[in-house]
Amino acid sequence: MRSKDRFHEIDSALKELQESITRIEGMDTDELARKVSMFREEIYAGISRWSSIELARHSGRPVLDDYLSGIFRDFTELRGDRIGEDDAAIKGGLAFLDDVPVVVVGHKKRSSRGKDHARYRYGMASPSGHHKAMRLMKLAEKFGRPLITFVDTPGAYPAPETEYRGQAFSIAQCISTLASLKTPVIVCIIGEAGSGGALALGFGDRIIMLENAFYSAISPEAFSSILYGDDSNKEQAADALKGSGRDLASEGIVDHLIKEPVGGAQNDPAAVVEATGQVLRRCVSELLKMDREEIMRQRAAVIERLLPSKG
Amino acid sequence: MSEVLDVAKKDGRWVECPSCAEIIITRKLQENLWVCHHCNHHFRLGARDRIGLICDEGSFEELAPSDHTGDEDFDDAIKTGKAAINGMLCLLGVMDFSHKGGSMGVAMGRKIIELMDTAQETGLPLIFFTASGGVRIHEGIWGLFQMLRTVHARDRITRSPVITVFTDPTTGGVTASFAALADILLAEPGARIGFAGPRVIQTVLHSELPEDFQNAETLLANGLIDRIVPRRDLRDTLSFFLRWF
Repeated sequence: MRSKDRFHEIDSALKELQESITRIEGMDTDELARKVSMFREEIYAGISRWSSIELARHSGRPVLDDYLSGIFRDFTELRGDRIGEDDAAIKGGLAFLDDVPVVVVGHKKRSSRGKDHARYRYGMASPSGHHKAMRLMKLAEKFGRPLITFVDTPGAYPAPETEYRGQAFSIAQCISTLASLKTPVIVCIIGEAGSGGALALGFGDRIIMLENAFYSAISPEAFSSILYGDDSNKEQAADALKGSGRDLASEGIVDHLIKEPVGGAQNDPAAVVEATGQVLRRCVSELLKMDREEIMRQRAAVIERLLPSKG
Repeated sequence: MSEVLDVAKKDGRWVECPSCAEIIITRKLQENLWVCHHCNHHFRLGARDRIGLICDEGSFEELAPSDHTGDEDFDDAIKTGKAAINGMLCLLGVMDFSHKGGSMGVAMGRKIIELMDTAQETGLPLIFFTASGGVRIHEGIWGLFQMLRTVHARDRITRSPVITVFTDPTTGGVTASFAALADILLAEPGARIGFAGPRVIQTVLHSELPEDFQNAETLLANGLIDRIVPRRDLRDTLSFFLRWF
């Protein structure tokens, strides 16, 4: 059974149960409701890393546009790489976070409730997208505004035409730009964060991550193919990659872990967006109080210490 | 014909060219710097052979590893050290594809960063020979973060010129990090240089790939690298840059 179908089935079974409860008269519905919620907790509490990945890819999961409209005021999109293209997989622009002017850039996997993944290449950026992102990063730096990124991509777009235009080179430049940007950078990892494509927008002074988002050098399917010849061991591969929000929080890479509603972010997108917005506000006000040199010093120190703990 | 090819080994008297399938006498191939006489195919070189080819004889001194605890810090997929080319001192980082596909994990990242820091301290020019399948994915997120760490270390170098010589094959997170950010980008003829491996692209696109789409020649035509340098000219070309900088 396809994973989406499985989650859908569980969720609709629970919903049906809930509905029948309300139809039953004269019974202790509170008690039954409590049982339903316990059942839900049990199903999802022991969630595996592979399930996290399925949730990170869930078609109902909140995406960039949900965060843009739910958190920011007056988001105004800015387009184009200034070389000759505009990549729809990267979306960015200017906005206000409360009264603070900010620059926002992220991977656009699809529109809010749309099935239009293909149009945005599932958030897989081309070199043009990385050049657009760099342009916006430098804009943030020039005007001293905080940069906020949203990461949601299986990886950079792998194709002959992106190779011709220097995919590797654009990623290297993007990482370099981000690492040395002289303005506060806050990264929100909201879904899949795959490989160099994720890293191109994926590091900053504060890292916020959803608990079922997944950050890794390679997809578990591809890792399984390399280890075992096919993707049948993707569950083990996912465990070996240890890239869930909970994993990265326990490694100290993630500063703020956003708890998802039972069953995943798709069950209450508004709550997840709200929680992310609150943490984001806190990070921005913290970083705006700091001296820019101090921010740069701290970022350099964090990058230099970005090593696995021994033992 | 296949029987003849099967017995051909690199250590033996004969070698089969993987590009044109001609059988070549090993000694002659070695004299020609491991370049095929028939089709100009540049054979892959291990780090030791590469160092022997580029440096003045006996000039290579391996960089003493600092602060290394235990086996995990030992990484043969890159050799780093100080050497002379035509009498001019420089620092060298030479990757070896025959060791774990030249993959970049924590240990390799550390060696690269130490080499870069040495370049910044001494002001010596730094030359990388890359050969790698990308980050060491077995190390999970830590492999990926070596891209960030090496880029960050590269950006700290203000005193020394940095040169990358892409050799066959260089792909993934090595191309997409420090290697792409050198001041001068050179490549050996025919080297595969790219981001995504052909298998990954095929899985996503379900279509045949154009031949040579990641070849050094294609990258040169598309403006991604500065020059292609045949192996016999490498010493002289590098000498030019060492004199110029």
